[in-house]
Amino acid sequence: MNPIVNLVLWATYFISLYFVIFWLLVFLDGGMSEKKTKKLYKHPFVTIVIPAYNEEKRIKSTINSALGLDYPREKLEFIIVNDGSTDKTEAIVKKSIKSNKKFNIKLVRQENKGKGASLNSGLKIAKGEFFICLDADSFVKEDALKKILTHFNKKKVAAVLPLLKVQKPKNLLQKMQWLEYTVNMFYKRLMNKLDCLHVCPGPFSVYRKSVLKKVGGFDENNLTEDLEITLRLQNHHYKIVQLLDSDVYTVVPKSLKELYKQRSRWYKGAVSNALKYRHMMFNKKYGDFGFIQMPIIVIAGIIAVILITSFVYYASKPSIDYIYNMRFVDFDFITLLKNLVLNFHMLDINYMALLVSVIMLMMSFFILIKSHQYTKEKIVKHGIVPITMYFVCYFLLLGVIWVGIAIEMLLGIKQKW
Amino acid sequence: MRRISKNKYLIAALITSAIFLFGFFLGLVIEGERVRYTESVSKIQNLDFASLQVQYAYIDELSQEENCQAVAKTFEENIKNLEFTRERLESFDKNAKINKGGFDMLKREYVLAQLRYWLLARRTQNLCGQDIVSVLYFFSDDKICPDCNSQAFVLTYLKKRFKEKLLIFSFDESFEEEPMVPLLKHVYNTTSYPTLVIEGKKYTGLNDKKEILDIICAYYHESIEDCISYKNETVKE
Repeated sequence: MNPIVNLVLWATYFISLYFVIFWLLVFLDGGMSEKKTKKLYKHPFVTIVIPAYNEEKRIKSTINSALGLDYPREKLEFIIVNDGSTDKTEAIVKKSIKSNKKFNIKLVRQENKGKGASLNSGLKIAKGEFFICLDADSFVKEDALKKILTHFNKKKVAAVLPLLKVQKPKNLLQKMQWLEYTVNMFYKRLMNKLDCLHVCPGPFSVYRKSVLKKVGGFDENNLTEDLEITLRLQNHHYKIVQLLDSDVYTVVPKSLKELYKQRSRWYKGAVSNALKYRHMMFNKKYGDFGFIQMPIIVIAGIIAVILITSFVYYASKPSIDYIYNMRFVDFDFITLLKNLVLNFHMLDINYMALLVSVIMLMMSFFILIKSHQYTKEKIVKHGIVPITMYFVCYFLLLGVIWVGIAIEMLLGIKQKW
Repeated sequence: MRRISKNKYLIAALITSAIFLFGFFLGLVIEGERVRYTESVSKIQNLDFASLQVQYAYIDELSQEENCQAVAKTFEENIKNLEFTRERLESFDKNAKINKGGFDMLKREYVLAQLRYWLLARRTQNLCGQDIVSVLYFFSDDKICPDCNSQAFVLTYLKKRFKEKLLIFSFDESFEEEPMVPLLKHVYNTTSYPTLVIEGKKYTGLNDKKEILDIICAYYHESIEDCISYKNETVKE
């Protein structure tokens, strides 16, 4: 093997293992139990903004789940921003307003300008002390808001994030995403310990409105405005809190094509925003966020691409060679099968690779178990198949998506040049 | 000023390095084991060869040609083991980190062993009247010889078809540490790879199943099933 390729591969294994061990250390240092917060005595005024673009299928249930929140009605304001929908979204919203006259629901109409602009339209007229973004494909549990608000106990706290779960996963792909979300929430809680959160997701992230206004609202020309605003809050040294109670459910892609589209947007947004805020990288002023999280955002994709290409290459090369070579013996499988001899010895195993893989696998299992424990879910909730597939092929799948995105980005750069 | 978890960075680096170092030393231990293992196998194979030599000498001396069959079986078995170990040795050598020298010495032994068997085969062919075709196969690494992988595949395939009737001896042309390799290269004037020397005649470039069958089937005195079926196949075409 080419020594440079070899070196890159081992460096990738080293860095991957390093990050996993690092976050395990964070976990082992004092556990993760949430501090008991006081009961919410005051009920501050809260604005919930639901940006909607062609959401006729789900907007009604999203509104209903928001209306069902356990919170004084007069302290809630709902702003639904119709971002130039071309379907029946607006009619459905209007109907909802009519039938829920006791609630303070406003409808804002605008040309299609994207989610960032929709949130800003809401922010402009929001009266609440707190500002909530609720994606139109998400549903919130009754007690979520009360639980979340108790965590705004310090002035520096700019945002509090709920525990995000996958809404009723039906097919295998969604069930694997359910596992992914659970593990991600565990990681986000660990990031929280080091003030390293880098994204306030669309479903029910609660912001202190004064802070949002102070930092200039949402970026309207951004692929991932939720990630951008979070990096901006980090840039201003605000605190963001991730909770592991207060459930919010979100609908996840049900097909590979949808998943690719979603992840493509996420990853491209992550890279471009990380570049935008590159001054934070390895900058002492930003503490752990600059030293561990910013580099992870940038190199996660590179690591994924390297791991997937090397894996696919080494896994498929023998069979491709075999088929290629079969040409020269007229594909006479029968002779080869009849005389199959196994020439295997314990000393043939690559123990170094085996050791690293076993350690990685064990740690992944440990994290999977702990994630479920902390999010109070059963590992086998959706059966054993999704877990097996999650370990066997989900990362492969995400890796393939990364490779596709990497190619797209490389081509994009070339076009610009 | 925000917090920097220096200790955790450091401990994580230490643990990760420790795991990799452990893996590296494990690799070294395994490498040592590989050398020792190949050495011990090689010792047994040397003994096997000596025994075989004596067996043939015995047959020759006491005109025990009726026992040829039994000895030929041993011969075939020994060659098979030799080839297994040679293949394993090649892959051990490819992955060797520090013990290159140890593997080179073993590789020399295997080159010599192959040649000894080749010479023995030539001598016993007359003695026992065995119908054998022997092939010397010169290969090189992927860069010099991208076709060698396929050539080896074809040869392995043919070996499976002809079994003891076909003897294949492989030589890494770049392994000049053993003086017999350059000598053979000189004798057969091999310059490009793969090169096959079948019963003394040289064939360069990748030869597929058909081409080799054409060559070797001409050498067999008796009618061999595989050659007959091959001829039938070509007639049909």
